[in-house]
Amino acid sequence: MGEVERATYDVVVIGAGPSGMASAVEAAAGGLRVALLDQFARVGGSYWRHNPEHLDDLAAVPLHHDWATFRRLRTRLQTVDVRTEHTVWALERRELGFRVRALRGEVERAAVVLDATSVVVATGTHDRVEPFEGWTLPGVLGAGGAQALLKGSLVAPGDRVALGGTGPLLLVVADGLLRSGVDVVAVAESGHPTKYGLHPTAWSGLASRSREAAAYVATLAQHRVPYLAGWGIRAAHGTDRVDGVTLATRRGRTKSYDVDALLVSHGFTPQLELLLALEPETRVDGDGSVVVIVDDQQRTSVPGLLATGEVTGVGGASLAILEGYAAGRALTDRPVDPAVLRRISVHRRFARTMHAVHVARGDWVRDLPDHELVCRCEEVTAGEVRTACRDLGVDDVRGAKLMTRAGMGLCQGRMCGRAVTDLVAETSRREPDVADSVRAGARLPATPVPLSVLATEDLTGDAT
Amino acid sequence: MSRGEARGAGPRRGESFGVSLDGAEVTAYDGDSVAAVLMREGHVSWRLTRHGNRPRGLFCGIGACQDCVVTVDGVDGVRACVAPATPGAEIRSNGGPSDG
Repeated sequence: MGEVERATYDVVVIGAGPSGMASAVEAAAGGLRVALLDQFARVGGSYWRHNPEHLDDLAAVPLHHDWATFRRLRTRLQTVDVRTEHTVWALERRELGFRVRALRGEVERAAVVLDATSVVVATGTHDRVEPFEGWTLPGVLGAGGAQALLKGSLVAPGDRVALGGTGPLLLVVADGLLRSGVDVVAVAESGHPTKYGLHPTAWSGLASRSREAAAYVATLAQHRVPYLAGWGIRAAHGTDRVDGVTLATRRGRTKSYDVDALLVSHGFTPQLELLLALEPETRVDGDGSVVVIVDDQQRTSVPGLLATGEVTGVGGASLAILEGYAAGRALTDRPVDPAVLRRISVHRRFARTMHAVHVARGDWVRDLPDHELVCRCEEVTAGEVRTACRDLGVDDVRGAKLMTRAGMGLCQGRMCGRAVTDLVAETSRREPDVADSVRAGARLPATPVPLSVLATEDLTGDAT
Repeated sequence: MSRGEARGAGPRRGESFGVSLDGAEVTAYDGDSVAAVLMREGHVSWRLTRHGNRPRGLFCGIGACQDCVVTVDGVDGVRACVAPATPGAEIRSNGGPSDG
């Protein structure tokens, strides 16, 4: 059995994406001893996933976004203890500060225990994927996950690709694929982006963002890729892998395409598992996500616990970086530049508009056939959940979990939590309680932990 | 160029090295995840589910869903999207069909 590595810091930042990097850099600049943890092998998060060659490769610049900012932040990490390949599985309150338990190395899985006065949780999001017929076929991937694969390894998910769901990410990913020579056959956006016109002030102060959006639309037009507003994914087809997709409107018009990959994002799910163990105050955001409530310096309701980036509300990398900076200032008792606070409010206003425009289709739950899986891990079908509601009196996510095992698998309901919530609500004719479903899934360990590591942990006693 | 590889003059890949994939030597590049190696070699799935015996591969791509787990250096349950490919690593898929 391996030794447990222990260390103590002023601050542990969990997640080395844009906001985590900015938090760590700013806290270290204020003189604190900071550790920055990330489960992946390199800093940057999914947004700045890269290979080491990209750092001085001009040809890599178009592949990335805001690359100069990444390079600048990365350089400033010199005074931070960067701990990549650390997967955090527990975050606990101690008498003074916090204890962070991690596994070092996805293969090695060595036990690491870090104590800190303050913790910044910057764990970001994953793609939200609403189930549809065929959604478990290989080749159906999260759009953000596929983009990370392309950025990190220059591997495209297929040669002939469709994208579906809702949100600006679909355009960003389509643009990246087209630049890499991939044939993009269609982009199905279930929202109606023309509704941005109803919020003319949303773009003010965000000229670069509107130019960027226009450029993506132009790239699609240049490659004659249809951008289908108001269309959702009806079904993915195939036996052992996806070979086709049918898109549909609410009124039942359909279009079908042959594809070898289907990339999906119905917005994002903030990764709150570690935070919720400490029970900070939360709210339901405009996109239906449960997020953590923070003040203007990113402090949660739990003293010493800060949160930055998408876990405080999905708003994109630019906002996340500013929030990281604000958190770093808060940790070192320095004021936040008022101009930064103004930028944060501009970005948050845009995020509210984005959430209003890019609404996930919502009525998928009626279309999901009884035989289709809703929980990928435990292989629980929509029909099993419906039966539990109708015949066994189940009317919430916990009940569905107990009776069907939906959400009880390795991902702990991360992938199916929202879907099961909606399915239970539809069948039992109640309002969906998203917050309840998120709490139901928030169990430690936040990731599977080998028994050999659990055996090395003093899980109840004080620091040794 | 292998299937699934991004085309064009484009950005450089990391330094190349060899890994073992189901006993065969294949090329990986610095910065690759194990999933990237599998997909560059044409695999879209690399395990079968416990109950339905259905193929699975990369899904969320960022370490959350546990769908892409694979065996590396004899260790089961390794998230292929998270684990970096390292020189000489032995990757074993767990029975998913492949078209590679």
